[in-house]
Amino acid sequence: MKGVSAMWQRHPAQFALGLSALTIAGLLMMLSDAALCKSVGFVLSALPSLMTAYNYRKHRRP
Amino acid sequence: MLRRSPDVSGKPATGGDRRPSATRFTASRTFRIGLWLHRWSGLVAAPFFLVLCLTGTVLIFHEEIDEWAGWEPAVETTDAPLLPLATLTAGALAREPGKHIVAVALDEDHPEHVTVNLAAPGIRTIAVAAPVLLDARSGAYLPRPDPRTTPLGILLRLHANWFLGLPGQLAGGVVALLVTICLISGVVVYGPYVRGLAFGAIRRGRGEALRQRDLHNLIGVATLGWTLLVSVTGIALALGGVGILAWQATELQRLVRSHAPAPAGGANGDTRAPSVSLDAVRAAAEAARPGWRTTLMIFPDTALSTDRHYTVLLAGPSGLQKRLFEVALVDARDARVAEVARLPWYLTVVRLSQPLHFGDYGSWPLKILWCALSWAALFITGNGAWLWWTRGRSRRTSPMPADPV
Repeated sequence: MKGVSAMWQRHPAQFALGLSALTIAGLLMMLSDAALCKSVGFVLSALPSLMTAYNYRKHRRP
Repeated sequence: MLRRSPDVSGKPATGGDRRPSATRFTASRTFRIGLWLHRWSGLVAAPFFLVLCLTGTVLIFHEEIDEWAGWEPAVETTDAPLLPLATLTAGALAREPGKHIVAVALDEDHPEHVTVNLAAPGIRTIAVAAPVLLDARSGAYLPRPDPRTTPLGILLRLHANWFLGLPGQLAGGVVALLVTICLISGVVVYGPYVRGLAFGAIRRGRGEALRQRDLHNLIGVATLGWTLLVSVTGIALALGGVGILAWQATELQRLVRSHAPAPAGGANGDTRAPSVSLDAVRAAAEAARPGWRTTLMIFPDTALSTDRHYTVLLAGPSGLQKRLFEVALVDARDARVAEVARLPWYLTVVRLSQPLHFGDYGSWPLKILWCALSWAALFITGNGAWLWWTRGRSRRTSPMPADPV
């Protein structure tokens, strides 16, 4: 396996914590008033869910 | 004692899948303790967490629901100037003779709305005072139900303290702590269950338990950060009531001692009848911290003020400071600022936890994300409990190894 799946299997705890760090960093970033921080923060916080949804669809049998 | 490996791929082990180390880990004490903690903390918290998720999902949209249902008066946009606070409070007192003002709340988002909290003589806390909403431009009384008695107010009380006040609030904190333990132990134990499985893949056609377990792991990992944040901030908010009591017992007492009134007898000896206008008090507090705005003015002789001073909560101008308070003590006789105190660290943590728990600081996109993640957390709580409930049956009917929960 390669890429995300390899990380998920070889280092599951670190992988889960890494995704969590993305979400939390994004949500903290959104506390700022700057529009750029709000946008980047939102993307970061939604990224784990989007990545999961993308991979779920990719591996779904037709 | 060796346990069976929870490797659920159903395929024979190959040389490259590192199975021996997985087996060693699942036989380890760390894994067994983690699994026990994940199972039981999750099961004990599940029914309460389900209620919290359901009520929380509705509360995310409380502003929109309040406005739609007419529980919050619509905002009229006019250019008329705002009336002085003294005029507004005098009008409120005239409407409710015999009562006294405990506090006046100002809304930064809606400066044309001022809430005056009135209480019967002898009552010294805001929590039991009746809030009266006034139009700051016309002074008119704006009819609206007491926010604590609307359906959303009732849901909020259920969510925040299970209708039990401070004990219920602390019980909610225990639930949040159990959820946090469940999440951390889940991170420790889920690895062996996804061995040989691509990220995002769900095994179908090999039993419902296996499919649900894969979903549990996948959605659990995707939502871990949000669930951890909401749980940890939930613990902080649950301790908020205790934090305020601690502040009253320590910092407020220090302020009372430091600024004790002079012996009575002067012309302004009765501090319960403040002699300066509320607008002068507000101006003095804001002048002491330029850029900071008044959000709440607590009158003298209440549970959160001294006998002689107004306690004025000032919110910061921007960014994180907007979420924080500083406390100005303003003399009720001459509007002199006795002291501006910072919130203690534990109340700062509580304040910063609020937006991160409620998700109300990023407009609609964040609310929708919050709602989706709540439902995902709701799903994995339910399917985790289902996996535990059906685990005995799965063992009897399938050659698969033990379930994770």
